[in-house]
Amino acid sequence: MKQTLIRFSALAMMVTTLSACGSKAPKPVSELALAGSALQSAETSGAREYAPIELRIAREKKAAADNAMSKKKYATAQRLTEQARADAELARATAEAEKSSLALQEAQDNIKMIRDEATRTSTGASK
Amino acid sequence: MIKRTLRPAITASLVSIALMSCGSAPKQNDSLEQARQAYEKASQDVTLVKHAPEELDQARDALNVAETRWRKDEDAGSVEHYSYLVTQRLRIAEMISKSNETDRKLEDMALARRSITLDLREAELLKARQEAGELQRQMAALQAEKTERGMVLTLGDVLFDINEATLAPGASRNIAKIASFMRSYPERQAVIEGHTDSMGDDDYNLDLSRARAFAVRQALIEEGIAGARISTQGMGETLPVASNATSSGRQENRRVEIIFPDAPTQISEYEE
Repeated sequence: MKQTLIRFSALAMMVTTLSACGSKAPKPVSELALAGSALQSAETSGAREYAPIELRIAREKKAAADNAMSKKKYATAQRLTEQARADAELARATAEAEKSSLALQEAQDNIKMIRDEATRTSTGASK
Repeated sequence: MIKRTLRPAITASLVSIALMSCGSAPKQNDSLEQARQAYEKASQDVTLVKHAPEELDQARDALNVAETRWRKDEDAGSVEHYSYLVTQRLRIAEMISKSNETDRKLEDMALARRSITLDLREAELLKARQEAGELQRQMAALQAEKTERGMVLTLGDVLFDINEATLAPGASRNIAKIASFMRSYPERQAVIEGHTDSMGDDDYNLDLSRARAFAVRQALIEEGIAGARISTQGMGETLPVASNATSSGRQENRRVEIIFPDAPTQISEYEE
C-alpha cells in the first residue's frame, strides 16, 4: 500500500515536472502502440487478478500519456508512454510470477495428499 | 555560411538553457543514485543474469542514458525518467527470474509426483496380487473351480447320507475351511445350491436339494458367518453333471455347490 502511494505520488510529480517542459518533440505514435499492446498482454496474463496494483499504475500512466497527446505535449506523452509500457510489462511479469507460485502451492498440496495416500496403502498392504 | 552553421548551435544552447530553467537540477539526484545501486546489485545476482539477461541489458542502457543526461546537466525530469525506467526494468527482471525458478520447481514436483504415483500403483498391484495369490491358494485347498459364475466349490454326496439332509460328521472339516475362507474375504457373498440325482419324484428331489443347501448354510452360520452373506437354492435334479444311468454318475450328481461370485476388483486409479 505504502509502495503504491509512493508510486502514485512519483507519477503525479513526474506529470507536473514533465508538463512544465512541453516542447516540440515528435508525436510518440509507435511508443503509444507499444504501450497499448504491453497493457493488453498484461491483461491477457491475468494481471487484473494477479497484479492489480501494477496494472492500475500502468493504465493511469497510459491515460495520462493519451491526455498529453491530445494537448500536443508530445515530450510529456513520450515519457509517460515509455513508463506506461515498462509498468505494463512489470504487471505482466508480476502476474506470471504470482500464477506460477500459486501453481507450485497447489502442486505441493497435491503431492502431500498422494504421499499420505501412499503411506496408507503401504501400511494396508503389510497387514 | 558561418551564420548558417552557427544558427543551430545557438538555438540548441537556447533550448538547453530553457530546459535547465524548467528543471532545477540538484547536486545529487536521488532517483539516479537509487537506479545505480539497484543496477549494481542486480548485475551481480547470478540468478537474474541467468534468467533475465535482456532486461538487465535494457536497464543498463536506460542507466547509461540517465547518466549522460545527468552529466550534461539536462533537466531533472529526464534523469528521473530514465532512472525510473531502470528500476522498473530491474523489477521486471526479478519477476521473470522468480517465475522461472518457480516453474523449475514445478517441473521437479511433477517428476516427484509421477514417481510417487508409480510407487503407489505398484504397491496397490502388489497388494492385489498378494490377495489374489492367497485366494487362489485357499481355493485350491478347497478344490474350487474358477468359472464364469465365480469360484465354484463342489461338495460331494459324502457329506450327506442317501435321502438325508443332515450333514455327515466328516463334513465339518470342509465346512470349517469354507468358513475360514469367508472370514478372510468378508466382502464375498456365497450362493449355496443343492442338487440331486434323478432317482425319485421331482418335487421330492427339489425339497431334498433345498434342505441340503440349507443344512450347509446353517453349518456355516454356526461357524460364525453372517446369514446375510449366504443365500441358498434348491435345483433338484435339473442340473446333472454326470449321467444318471450309472451309480457313480448319480453319486456325482448328488452334490452341493458353493458359488462365490467374483467381487469387483478394487484398484483405484490416480489420474495425472
